[in-house]
Amino acid sequence: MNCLEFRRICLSDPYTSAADFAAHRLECHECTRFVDSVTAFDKKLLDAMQVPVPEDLATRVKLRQVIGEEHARRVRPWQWALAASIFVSVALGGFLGLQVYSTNLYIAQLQASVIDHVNNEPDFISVQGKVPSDKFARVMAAFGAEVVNKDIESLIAHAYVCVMDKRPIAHIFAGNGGQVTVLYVTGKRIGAETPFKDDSHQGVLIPAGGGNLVVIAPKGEQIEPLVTKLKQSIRWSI
Amino acid sequence: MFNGKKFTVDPVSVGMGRSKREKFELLLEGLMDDLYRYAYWVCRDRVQAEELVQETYLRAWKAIGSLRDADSAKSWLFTICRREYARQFERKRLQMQDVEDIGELPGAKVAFDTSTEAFVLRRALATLSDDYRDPLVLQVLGGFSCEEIAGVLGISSSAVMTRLFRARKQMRELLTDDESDSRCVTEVRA
Ligand SMILES: [Zn+2]
Ligand SMILES: [Zn+2]
Repeated sequence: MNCLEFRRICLSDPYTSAADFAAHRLECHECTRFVDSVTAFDKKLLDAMQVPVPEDLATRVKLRQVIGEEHARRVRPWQWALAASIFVSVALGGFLGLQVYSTNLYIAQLQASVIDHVNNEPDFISVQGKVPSDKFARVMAAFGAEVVNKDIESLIAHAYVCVMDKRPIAHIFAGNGGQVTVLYVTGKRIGAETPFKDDSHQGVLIPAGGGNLVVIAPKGEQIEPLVTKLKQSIRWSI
Repeated sequence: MFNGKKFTVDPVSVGMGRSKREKFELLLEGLMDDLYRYAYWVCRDRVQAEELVQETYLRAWKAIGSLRDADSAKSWLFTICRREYARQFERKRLQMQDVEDIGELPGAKVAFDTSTEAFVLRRALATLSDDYRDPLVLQVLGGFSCEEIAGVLGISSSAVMTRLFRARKQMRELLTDDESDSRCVTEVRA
């Protein structure tokens, strides 16, 4: 191998383990310096290529995959068969009564989970400052929702993908100082908007997309303006 | 208070083999950062890079049964990403960022090198044509051999060698034209 050939390979594959390349490198000082300069340049290039990776990307990848699987499961034939058999037995057993009962149970359970979640949100989550401009939209997009009115971002303090009852949910701190919590929970979509309260909280469940939007705040906090704004600003594709 | 678990289904644990999920977790934990950076340099748009990563893992999950050899996992994943990019390319090309925006990545957090030299290198890299930048990123960032790059891009090894040679030559030309940063480049003395 001559110097010209060696340098040509240097610029295309400086990491080759080819024997004749290694041999020339050993016997030619100029070419050793040349290949070292190419690999030193590559190191700088590698540093320059290290663009920051969004911190919650792995979570969102998992979420997308989970949602994809759920979607796929919905259309499995045995489920249709199962659903049909349940429908028949439910119809025989008194359809309306049972449906109301199970829906009320679901709403009660959802409210309990939400209040529990809000009470136990870790302290380390900072609610200071404004959410990065597209973070709210990106979190909502992961749940099949599009933010159509960017004005709402001025009311959002923090937004991220959280977990409730082992399911991914959107967790949003809103209002001045983030006292109002907005959660988006996928799953059974309730029939109608349902207000709820306990000793220290008040809130509302709003059917939206493939699940429900929950707005919850400490007692006495105004939530209606935010609820109105949320309805105007988010469009659901599922 | 009701027990939430009774009425909700954990989608993660239903109907999936443990080993499939474990494989997927490893692909995610071990390779996602490199894959995102590759995706970024392929499309030079943060939002599209995220979409590419999402789509790549979605496809990887569906096809994970065909992955048998751990050594080929990385090139397998990058190949999926590259194909997905090709599929989206026409649809998204109008949204691609201008070259001038490359140095100003919003949302940058710690450990992001904003020195002049890195900026100049990123700008030069963004200026390369896709055909030249792609194999260079795969070699320098991905650490792939020429044969692996050929597999990812679906071209011959000799074509990869030619493109890599031209990519480095162009980088040197671009950087030596810019007198302020000629120290990035070492001179060729034939
Ligand atoms: Zn030589
Ligand atoms: Zn939470």
